[in-house]
Amino acid sequence: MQEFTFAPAVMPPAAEALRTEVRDFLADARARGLFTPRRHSWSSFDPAFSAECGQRGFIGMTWPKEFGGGGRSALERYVMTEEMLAGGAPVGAHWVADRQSGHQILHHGSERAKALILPQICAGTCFFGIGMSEPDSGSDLAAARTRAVRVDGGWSITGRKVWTSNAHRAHYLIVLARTEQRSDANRHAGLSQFIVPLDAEGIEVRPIYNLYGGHDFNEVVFDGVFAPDDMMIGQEGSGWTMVTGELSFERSGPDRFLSTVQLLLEVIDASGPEPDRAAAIDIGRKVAELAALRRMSTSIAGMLDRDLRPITEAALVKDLGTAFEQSIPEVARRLLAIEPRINREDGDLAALLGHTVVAAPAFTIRGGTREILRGMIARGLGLR
Amino acid sequence: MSHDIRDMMLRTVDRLVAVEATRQMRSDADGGGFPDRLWQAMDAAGLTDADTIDDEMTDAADMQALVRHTARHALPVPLAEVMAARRLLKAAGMAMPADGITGIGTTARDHADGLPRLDDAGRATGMLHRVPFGRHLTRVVFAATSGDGTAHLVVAEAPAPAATDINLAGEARDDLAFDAAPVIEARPLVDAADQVMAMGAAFRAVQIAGALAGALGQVVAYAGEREQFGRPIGKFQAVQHMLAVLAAETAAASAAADLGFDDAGRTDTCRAALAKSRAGQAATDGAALAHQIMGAMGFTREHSLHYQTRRLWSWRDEFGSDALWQARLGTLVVRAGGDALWPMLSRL
Repeated sequence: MQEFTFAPAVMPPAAEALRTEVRDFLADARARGLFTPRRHSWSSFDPAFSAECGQRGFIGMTWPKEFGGGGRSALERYVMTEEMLAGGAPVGAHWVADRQSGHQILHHGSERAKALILPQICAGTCFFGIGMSEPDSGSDLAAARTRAVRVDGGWSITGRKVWTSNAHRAHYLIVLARTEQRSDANRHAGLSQFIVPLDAEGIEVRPIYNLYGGHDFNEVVFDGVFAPDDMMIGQEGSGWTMVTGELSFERSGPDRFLSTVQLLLEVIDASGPEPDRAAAIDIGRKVAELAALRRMSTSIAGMLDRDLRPITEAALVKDLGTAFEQSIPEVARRLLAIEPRINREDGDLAALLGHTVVAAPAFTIRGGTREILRGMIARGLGLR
Repeated sequence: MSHDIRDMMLRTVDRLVAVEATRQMRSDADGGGFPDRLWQAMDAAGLTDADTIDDEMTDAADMQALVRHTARHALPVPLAEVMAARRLLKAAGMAMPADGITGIGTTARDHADGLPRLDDAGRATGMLHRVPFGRHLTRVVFAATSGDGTAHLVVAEAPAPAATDINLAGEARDDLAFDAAPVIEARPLVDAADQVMAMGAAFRAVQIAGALAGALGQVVAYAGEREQFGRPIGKFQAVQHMLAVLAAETAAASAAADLGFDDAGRTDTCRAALAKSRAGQAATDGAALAHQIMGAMGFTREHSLHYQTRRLWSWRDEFGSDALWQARLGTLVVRAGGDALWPMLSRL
């Protein structure tokens, strides 16, 4: 049996200086009114804040300098991201591009795609969405029906993607499409990925409103959208391998357990200075869970830094981490005597609680459902 | 640190388990007995005092790995306790005992009431409760208060138990009473009582991680072999998901146990609280899952799963339950305020 081990990550010496740099930046940004801590989740979409992050070199930190990146280690990037999230910074606009799209383009994109797109991402002016899910293909990504057919000089994409976060305000999607007929013998073959600008001809973006009444998600319809050859990522048919590799980044980061930490901080302050025993137990339990999650997550960052592929370990962290962040609104409800509110104009604690309660169901679904993750862990244990 | 030496130690444990960890040995030790042969074999192999080897060759994490591995095999030996005692003595600058078994003891209920007292002549009076392996100890390390209220770390000859008992795993947990008993050495040490508790709790977290790994190994193997409805139960999705959660809890307990000590093998209230809180929670959920997966095969003494799970059920409550440590941690965090939480965690 494989036992999952999470060896402690050895932080590079520069990491602590960077930590201080990010904290100073956030303090300054708060002072300038750029954002209000404890009123956002990391997914808040704020292009002005993203542009500031770009100017400070906080996007594309691990990418080569020739593309505008910082040439730093994955562990340094990890420190930057965890500080941003813990500080309640609205990093949602550039998040997907920085976390995974740019990484894919850097490693598998054409020279033109790299030169055209990566510097813009690093500048904090170019945002991405993920074009994986479809109406009939959520957890079962290999069931994707969106297809790309060969045309002169490239591909013509036709199909439909859903739950596409930020498609109405991002610049590009990376679209997973069938470039070959689906075969029962190998369901994972014949999938390819394309970079598609959202203002391309033939794209229609329709809103899908979330439970909060907000507009984050979209349905994106492709009607013969042209993608030139050099906007394919990787080789024809390599889509599945890339998508699953990408998910290691999507599943193990601090965004998988810090989504509701701002609410936890509010609960801590509201319980002070002398918490009763029940409140202290609830809070202590959550803090200990958080500490263990951070330890596992940094360990995976260390593995990614060494070019390992900790796919199962990442699934495990996401399963534990999202259950943790989902539990925070329930702790808040137990310890705070307030009713959740959903008034969008009102930035108080009741609104933060309200937002968190209705956002929480997504945590154990986005990026791989709990059921999929547990299946992956079982496979890692040798049971499938 | 050398991973070669760590691997060698762990393989040595495996070899001793194959020879010494017989059903008879386990049965004899179960109820307060001591596995003399096993302990002597561990002693001869250099495992019982591996932490006294040159620091150049091994480090604290190696010792935690060794303790974790003996707990994985559910060996009924006081290895965690003797290492905890030596770390406490070393940190206080006190002499290392040369022979015999030196363990650690606390008073009941988190030292809240009545530490043993030290009189002016350096004699101790008071009671240590449910001392692990108490009747088998040569010496015991504990916290005491002198007449002027100064806390001390004390090492004294272990008296004959005032009362004997066992924990759920059948390991000796005995009350040791001192009545103006001369001590071997006493040193003033602020928070001595907290330090003993924290050291015990942090080692229990390591042991919980080990026992969970041992339980996980057994149930994964079982799920692959046991057939019902014409196929191994591990092929059923419901069972797979329970195993996945057990694996996740095992990993979380391990990560938490790692947080219990710094690189030099020291601990404090905050680290011990993080470790014991999370590991204790994992012990509860993990033991329940392991038994659910094992079905009726697991809930008798016929199977070996109980060697791990009975320890999990005891260890989670020894040196402070997860609830006790969660309360301490939560109070600490609330007093420091929300803005102090992340700086605290990111320093670990």
